[in-house]
Amino acid sequence: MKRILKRLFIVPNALFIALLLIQLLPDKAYRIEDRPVYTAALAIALELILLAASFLVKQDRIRHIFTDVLGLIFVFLIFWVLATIKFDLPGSAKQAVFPPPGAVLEKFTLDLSQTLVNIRDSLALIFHGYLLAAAAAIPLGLFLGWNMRIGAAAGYISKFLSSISPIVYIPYAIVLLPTFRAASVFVIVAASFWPILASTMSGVLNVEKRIIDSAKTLCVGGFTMLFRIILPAALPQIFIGCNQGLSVSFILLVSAEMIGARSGLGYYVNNYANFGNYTSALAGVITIGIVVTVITFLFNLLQRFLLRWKQ
Amino acid sequence: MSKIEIKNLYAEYADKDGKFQALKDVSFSVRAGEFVSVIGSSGCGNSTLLGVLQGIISPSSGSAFIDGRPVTGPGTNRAAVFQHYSLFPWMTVRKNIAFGIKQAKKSLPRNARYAAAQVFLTRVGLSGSEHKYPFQLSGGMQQRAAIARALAMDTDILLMDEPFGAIDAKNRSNMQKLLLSLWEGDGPSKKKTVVFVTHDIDEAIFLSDRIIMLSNSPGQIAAEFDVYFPRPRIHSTIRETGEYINLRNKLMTLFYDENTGVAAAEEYTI
Ligand SMILES: Nc1ncnc2c1ncn2[C@@H]1O[C@H](COP(=O)(O)OP(=O)(O)OP(=O)(O)O)[C@@H](O)[C@H]1O
Ligand SMILES: [Mg+2]
Repeated sequence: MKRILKRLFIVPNALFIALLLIQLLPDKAYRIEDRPVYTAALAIALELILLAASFLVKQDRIRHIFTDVLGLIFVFLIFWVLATIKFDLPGSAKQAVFPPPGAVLEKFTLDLSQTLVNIRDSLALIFHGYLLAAAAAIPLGLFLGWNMRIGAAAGYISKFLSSISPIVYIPYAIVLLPTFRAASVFVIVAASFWPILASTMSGVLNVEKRIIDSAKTLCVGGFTMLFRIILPAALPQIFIGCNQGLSVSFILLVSAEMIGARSGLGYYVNNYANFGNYTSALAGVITIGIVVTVITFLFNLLQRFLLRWKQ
Repeated sequence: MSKIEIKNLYAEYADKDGKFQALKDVSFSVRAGEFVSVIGSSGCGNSTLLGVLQGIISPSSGSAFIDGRPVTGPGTNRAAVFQHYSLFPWMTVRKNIAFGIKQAKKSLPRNARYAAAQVFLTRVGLSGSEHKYPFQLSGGMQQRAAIARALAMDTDILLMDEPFGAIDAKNRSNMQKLLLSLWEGDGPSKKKTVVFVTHDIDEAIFLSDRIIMLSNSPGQIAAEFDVYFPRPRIHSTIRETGEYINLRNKLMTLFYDENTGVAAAEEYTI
């Protein structure tokens, strides 16, 4: 009994109640497009997850992640409701740029089927570019890092090239590549290639000497050395670059989908922002955030599995 | 012809103020099937000497010959146990050993490699840990796995750098016996040639046909001793004999003469 109470009296639950209560405050601004019922529905859905997590998840660490993240979402929603509807901080002139959560959620629900198509198309684009980049950067990085002499020069050249934003290449990509789609993929490739290459090279250079000596005395051949010894030994570092590459890919998704795309999350956000529909644009931005979070989570699982031999 | 021959070997490391002489004019040879121990205090070039034989350190002058051919790089006729046991951390213990076997005997089918790996794991007392990764093992267990890898490769020559350093007295004694039984050959296979670096004088006497003592800065050969005790040796029996005490005293005197190390003094008091 005491344990149940202890799990009920936590800050996130209080925040949930606060979020529902502030809906009752009088609206400051007259905002026709707000749908408080959507906000409340989302709050209740999140609260159900929170309750389920706080009673079903045994491990303290994971339960705390749930309660803390959901608590922070409640704080954010409270602030959003107060700022846009109850106090109208932006002022009536800028209302359109700061839609209330209810309106964004309504758009989100209405556009859901389009959003799913967008997610599919954006992920297809990102994985296409990202996998191409990784497939090129990892073997190249292994080779350059292993041949130290070329590697030193390549290090400086790649520093120089990686400092150029891939957006700069877009006109060239459009002119040189056969399709718009190829140009979009190229933007993602250009974004993720450099961090993966750099981390692979430094990973190779940092492989412990005793591991290389040990492999040498076993007389491993060049291919085995590169792919069965150096690659796994450098993998922890390579993953750092792969993580960076993934973040940068999503950051550049909007730019990539500006090139002739007719769907996709970046296209959607960009399109609505251009037409001044910030409610839809914001719904798109939040969707991108959710997708990035889920992908990052899955990627971390993969990383944890492949590096299970590390302490 | 000697199996291993080292002629006027000099080795040096690049230092911030020029060169550091690690080995100076080292010459000796090892007959096929001979078990030779190298004793020398810490830093006198034991590992450097083995590095040259492994083919991962190039001498600055002089050379090492194996079967009459100069050593220019690593070879599958040699298996090494490093001082800092160097398993591959991303392979399980059994995988590590199977990988070593694969490198030494390319033609052996996969099943046979894994079966042989399991046999050696059991012999070094690691059955039950075959699916663990090196980070899940203690230092001594990792060292035993590294020894199992070298032994399982079944090479002509074994180069071992303080292989039993991190292993407790009981396991150490078992490992010594295992090493000797493999060295003598379980079957018709011919004896292996072993170069074995240790800091432990008793261990050297128990195992070796000959002991080479290195002196410090730069590493040079201080003396060589033949060890005549008949085999199979029983530790508790031979350590009572006059010859043993005599030899041990000689080695101790020389060791302390050459090296004044407090740590070493503690290690070797009876
Ligand atoms: N990579 C290196 N660069 C510079 N000097 C080195 C290097 N490796 C070893 N030395 C020096 O060479 C000498 C011999 O080194 P070595 O590793 O052969 O010692 P060791 O006899 O094996 O010592 P221990 O018994 O403690 O392992 C030492 O004095 C050491 O300082
Ligand atoms: Mg050493």
